[in-house]
Amino acid sequence: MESAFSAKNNPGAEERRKMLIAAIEQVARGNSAALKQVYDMTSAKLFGVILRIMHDRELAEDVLQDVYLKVWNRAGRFDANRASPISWLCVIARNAAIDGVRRQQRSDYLSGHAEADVLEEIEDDAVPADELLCNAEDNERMRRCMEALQDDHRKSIRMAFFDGLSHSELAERIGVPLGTMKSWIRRGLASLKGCLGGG
Amino acid sequence: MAVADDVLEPAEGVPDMQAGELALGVLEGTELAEARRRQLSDPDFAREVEWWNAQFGLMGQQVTGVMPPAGVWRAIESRIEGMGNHAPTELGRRAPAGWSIATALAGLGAAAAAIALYVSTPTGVPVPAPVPTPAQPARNVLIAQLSDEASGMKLASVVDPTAERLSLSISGLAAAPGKAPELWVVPEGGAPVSLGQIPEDGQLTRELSGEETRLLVAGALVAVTFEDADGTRHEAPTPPIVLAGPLDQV
Repeated sequence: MESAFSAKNNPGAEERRKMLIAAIEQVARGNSAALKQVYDMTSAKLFGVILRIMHDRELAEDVLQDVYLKVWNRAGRFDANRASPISWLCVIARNAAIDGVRRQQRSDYLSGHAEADVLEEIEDDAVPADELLCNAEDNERMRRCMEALQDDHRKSIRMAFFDGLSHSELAERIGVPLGTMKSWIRRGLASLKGCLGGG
Repeated sequence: MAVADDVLEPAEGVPDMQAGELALGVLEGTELAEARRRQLSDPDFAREVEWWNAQFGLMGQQVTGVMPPAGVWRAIESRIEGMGNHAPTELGRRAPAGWSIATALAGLGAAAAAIALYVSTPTGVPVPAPVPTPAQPARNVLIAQLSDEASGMKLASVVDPTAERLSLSISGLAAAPGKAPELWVVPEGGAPVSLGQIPEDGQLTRELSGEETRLLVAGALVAVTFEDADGTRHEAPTPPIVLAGPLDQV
């Protein structure tokens, strides 16, 4: 598991989270300076999410622009009682990256040729792990629940999530029949839900 | 890869996980369409998708952050300034080029491109003088193309948030006697909101209220059901959803 996924209590995290919520609320009122603040606090994380899925820096930069335009347009719909701000932003970024990739020819990405290069680049300007903006306890619970999954289930869900792959793409990558992959994902999600205790 | 068994093997005792599958992004084809319909018609399901999104959002934070180059923010800033001050001009510039949904859809994927609907551009629509209002950032035109090949039902929607205008091109929405097509918007993770009853065929353009404009944003779903033909806006859609699809930015 990544060292970035630490349960270490970051003393500034809760304050930063509140600042982020306040900034998003200002964005909803059309305050572009607040959007810059949201960008400064979150763009490295969201760029990481997008790059991981898109495997192409230029495309990822375009999608990152689109994501903050979406934030500008949708900030009024953010509800701090229902989602953490960084979760909300990650969902927007991830969906935008998946849309971007699926609108392109997938074959280049499926061959995985660009992966090594991108990962090397990531090493150069990686952002320290303590930039986490979320609740450390929630994070730790998610980490534990993922670790508790069967290996096949965990691997499939992680690849689906981090690489933005569909059922059939996962089946192809991992080399199992589609029905098996669907079953792994479904069983993995069921275990995860049971462990997280929500729904 | 040729996969023979694309039927899910019976998973005894494993509850329905479609909300999680939708949030995870693994669904495709008819399964994706079915999940989106459920998201429209079943508030419990929609809430469950939202719950999964929150969980997966936590996982997203495991990704190592990467500093984007400085040019990205400058580009965002100039796009926002452009939207605030010049959106109507941009709309006007597009119109003479024969802008159409068919053209706009060229980049929006094979499914959408397969739809042969053509909706004429709102050319000549009087555009209000540019008034930069920070509280209401001007936005791009949005479209949703809905069709069902089996029944031949088609609906093209164009939302112009700047002019607060909705244009529809409708064909083949044949309702049973006493029923009429009703248009819905479903915000991400929210409950469907009626936009009122619409004709079975033809063109319709109407003003949008501020509230309606606020709901009709990229990513929101537009859907059609058949409801009692009483001309009212109903509280909730009656399944089945006959057409549904997301609004996309042009």
